[in-house]
Amino acid sequence: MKNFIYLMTMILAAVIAVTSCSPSLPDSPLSSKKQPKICPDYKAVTIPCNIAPLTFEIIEPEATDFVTKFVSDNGNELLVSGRNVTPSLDEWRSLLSSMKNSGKLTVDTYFEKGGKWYANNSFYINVSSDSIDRYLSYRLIPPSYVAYEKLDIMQRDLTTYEEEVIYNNMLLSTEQSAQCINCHSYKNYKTDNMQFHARQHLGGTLFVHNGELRKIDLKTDSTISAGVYPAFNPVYDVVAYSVNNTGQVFHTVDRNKVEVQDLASDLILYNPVKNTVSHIQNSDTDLEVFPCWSPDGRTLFFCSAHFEAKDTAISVQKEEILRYKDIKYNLLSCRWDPDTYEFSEPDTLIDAAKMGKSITLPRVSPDGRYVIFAMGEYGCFHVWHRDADICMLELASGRWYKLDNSNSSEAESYPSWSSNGKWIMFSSRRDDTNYTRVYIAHVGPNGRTSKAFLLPQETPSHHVIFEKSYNRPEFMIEPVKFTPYEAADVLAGEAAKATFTENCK
Amino acid sequence: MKNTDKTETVAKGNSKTNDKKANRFNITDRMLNSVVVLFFVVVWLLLSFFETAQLYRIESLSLFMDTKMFFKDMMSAPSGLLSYVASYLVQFFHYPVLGAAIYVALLYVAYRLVKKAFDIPARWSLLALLPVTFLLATNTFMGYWIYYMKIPGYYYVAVLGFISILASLVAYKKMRLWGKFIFLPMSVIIGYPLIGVYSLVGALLMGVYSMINAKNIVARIAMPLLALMLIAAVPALYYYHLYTSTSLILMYGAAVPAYQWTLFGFDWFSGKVWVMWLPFLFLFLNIVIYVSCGKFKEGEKIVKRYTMIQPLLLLIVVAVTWSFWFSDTNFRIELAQDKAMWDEDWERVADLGQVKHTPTRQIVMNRNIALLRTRRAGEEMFRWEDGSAETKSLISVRLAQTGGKMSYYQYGRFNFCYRWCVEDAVEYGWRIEYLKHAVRSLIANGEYTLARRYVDMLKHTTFHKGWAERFDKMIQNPKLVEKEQEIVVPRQLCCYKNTLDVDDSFVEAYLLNVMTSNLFVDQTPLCAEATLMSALIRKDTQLFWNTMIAYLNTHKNLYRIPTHYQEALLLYANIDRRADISKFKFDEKIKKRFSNFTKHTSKYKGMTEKEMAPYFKDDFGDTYWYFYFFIREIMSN
Repeated sequence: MKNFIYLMTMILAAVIAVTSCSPSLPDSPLSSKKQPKICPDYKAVTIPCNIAPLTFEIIEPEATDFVTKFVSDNGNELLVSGRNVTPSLDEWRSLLSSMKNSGKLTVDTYFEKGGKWYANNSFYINVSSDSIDRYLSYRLIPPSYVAYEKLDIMQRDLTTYEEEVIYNNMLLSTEQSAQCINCHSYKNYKTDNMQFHARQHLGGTLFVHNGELRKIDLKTDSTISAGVYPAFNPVYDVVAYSVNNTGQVFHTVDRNKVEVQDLASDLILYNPVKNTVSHIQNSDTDLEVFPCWSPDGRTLFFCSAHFEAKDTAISVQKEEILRYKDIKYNLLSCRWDPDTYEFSEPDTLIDAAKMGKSITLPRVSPDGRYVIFAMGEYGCFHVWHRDADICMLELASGRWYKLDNSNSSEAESYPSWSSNGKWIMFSSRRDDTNYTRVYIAHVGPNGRTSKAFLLPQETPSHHVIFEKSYNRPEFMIEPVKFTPYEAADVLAGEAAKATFTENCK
Repeated sequence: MKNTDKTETVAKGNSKTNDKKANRFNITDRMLNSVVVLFFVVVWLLLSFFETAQLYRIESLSLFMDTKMFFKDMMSAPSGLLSYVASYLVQFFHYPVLGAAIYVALLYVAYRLVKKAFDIPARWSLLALLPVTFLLATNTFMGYWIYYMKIPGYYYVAVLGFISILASLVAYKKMRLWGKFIFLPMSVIIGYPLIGVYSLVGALLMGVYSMINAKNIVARIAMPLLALMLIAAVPALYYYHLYTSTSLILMYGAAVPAYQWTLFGFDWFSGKVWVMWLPFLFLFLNIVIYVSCGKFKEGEKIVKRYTMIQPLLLLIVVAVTWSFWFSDTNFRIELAQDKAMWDEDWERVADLGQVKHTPTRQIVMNRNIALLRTRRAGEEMFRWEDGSAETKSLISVRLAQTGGKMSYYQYGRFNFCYRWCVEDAVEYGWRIEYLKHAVRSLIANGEYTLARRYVDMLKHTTFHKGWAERFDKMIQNPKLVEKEQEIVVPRQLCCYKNTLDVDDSFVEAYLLNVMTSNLFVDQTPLCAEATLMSALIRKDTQLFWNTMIAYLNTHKNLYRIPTHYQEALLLYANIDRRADISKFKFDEKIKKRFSNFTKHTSKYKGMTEKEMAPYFKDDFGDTYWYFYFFIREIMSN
């Protein structure tokens, strides 16, 4: 018995010793003469100084052991062992905080194969002193078409891996009466004024106004639908929405699979104090959508496609489906007078249709210099368009360009700015062509962006196997303050019905 | 119930009478044991050999992956562990004989635990069999529900949950009072996240047990009250502090199919769906009654009538098993056809479709695609029974969920096949067959990157790694695709240009309509024949001529026009007098038969088609003419 206890103690001690000892670099490794293949690809990306550790897997078949060394400009080192490189949060923070200004992290990877150690060529990660907003929110949704089941609106702490549920539709869904949730949006990256929509069962908009949760119904007899794509005015107490009649049709062969089309759409303005709405744009032959405000709250940017039916034998909507490639959205803007609540006639900033292109989802930078947007060949739902890319418009010069460093050959969509204007975030399907992931890129002083990096996760393979898309990524500087149950209680109640007025002032 | 097992009974008998009585019980016990064993063997045989295709399909409609994320996902809902273990066990239905053996073994464990938990003596063993029959019925009653069950690993959830309840009760009974006071709340607080409402039922049983059996008056009142309190409070506490993806009301239905069957509040008795609840209800009442009985008291009358009661009990067991065993020939044929299609055994698919009763549309669709694949369509397409038998189901069954993906794939509609994989994966979770359909469709469409994603998922399963490896090789080397009949043949049917379309969930109607769009592109011979077949089913004259021409153009070396196509030529030429069919070669036999058919028709002038049909059935039931005139009102779901 004594021997047994002794043996067990020794084994335990050996296990502790093996697991607790820090990794060491191999002696005189051979050169592999190549850069390592890593997944996700974080080579030569630029990251904010406060981001959570980048974790990645080293793809080196048949290798049995790995060591990775991160070295900062000032010589501080961090060693991590294993195929999955997962630096600890504390060590990572310590390493990044030692780099007071922007600098480079040199990453050396070593692997053991056939009893010999090899060293790969180094790669670099640029660390920017520009910090990123602490929070990010997104909807988790399968890359689905018509059906939906469990949907979450989540908030993620970008400085760690912590993720929390803002609201989950299953809290109020039943088998017969399912609820869809979408379009979470914030005023000035804060959560005292924010909203998201619930559709179908107990539908309405959960609207947080100066910290107070309420449920509103934005559908009126004079508007096409309830509010859809929201844009909180950053200065004044109004919200612009698009109202849309949306349909889905399926490609029989094309790899884009589905077309989500606005068969009709207008823009409305919502006054949360009076709970009233009025039209901003409501032309029968124009499809207006995706409003967004300038930082001074006096200019509204939006997209609009002109569509006139040619065939009188079929309905306009049927024709819109048949001529789906002809529907191309331009980028427009109009001035808004906060004293009168009147809008000027819109100006076309980019006539994308003329170029055979279609612009969607514009977002103005916090300094008002740039507008970032997604551009594809046609249509308004670029998340399903493989040709869609993120582009930047410099407002002063009117010059626009594709962000080539950050784009890929697959669909890019839903761009947004961090509150300091130093980072952009967008969704991309570059990894597997179907599941939308969040990519972040640094914006340089010239309006050009760096190579985008994938939202870091605790497990490197997370994005490879996770079966949901990250939809509508939005930066926040503070977390949402209500619980999912409080939101459910409010949504379970009656909605305050908005009324339509000619001018909602 | 008094703890009187057979050894105890023998030991007590000293007198001759007692010996005789003991011997009699000994013999009875052995007989009953044999009956019980026979029951389990029969169930195993029935499941293994009578329900082979169903068990196989149940497995293909499930998923278990050896990944942390899968485990985490399971555990994110109450009863997570139960679902996880159940999903693991369902995998073994891939080998139905083995899977059935595991399932029956667990039923036997449940039976033994019933005896132990409720102190049922050996000579009343059949009483212990009764809850097991209800347990079995929760599965054998499913039928078309297999497509719509959302609880992961459903087939094993009830039996595992039930075993957990009984094991808890057995443990609880052996404890002292203070132990019971600790065990009861722990069983719910720890048990609820792991096994869901089964932990609540377990608490209820413990409460009732103490109420009936506890000697201490405090325990008699306190334990049931504590149980009720826990039942009410624990799910609510978990709702507010742990789970964010289940509504409060459904927390009380975790691990039973409350979600599908709308147990709480909303539309309890929608249609006849409530019938599906009966096995669960009976099972619940059964065990509550057993535990309420307290000690097993054999009244004199019962003992006197013992020999009469046993056959009666056996009869009840058999009747329950029989009446709750979903038996529908069409359902069974559909399942067997599906299995044969995955095996690429098209002769078997066609043969299975040669029914002598009205088939479901799924059977007809499967049969037609098999006849097309085996080049037998022209000779056999209308030879067998046709029609649209209603699916024997308490719920509305849609082809999109049952066989729509397979039909879309086989007809070369890869985008629509993939679309329905995704739609259903959203609603029911990814399942083996969705993943496989998705992989095949994406590879057939040349979308290798995305296909790899689903192949990777299949590599994490137990029994589908080989399949995944085979398709992974094709992804790595797309040239290999050309050697795979499984992909090459459906690709031959992909003769159409891209359009935007919707099927409104009506798979057959959609396929029949869109096949005609094949006419406007270059067609393969297979595609031309499939288009002709759809035109024949649609009974559209103009469409027939167009598709017939396309068929003949792609079959230039045709030695003889197949029988049904000759029949169709004669018929449509007769309807459309402008058509010139003089250049076609007809079999004399067919021409003569058509002439007889027209003469026969004139005999029954004035009758409706429905009235005429029986008079034509014997002589012309295997012709296109019969299909054209008498197979009407086909309702496709």
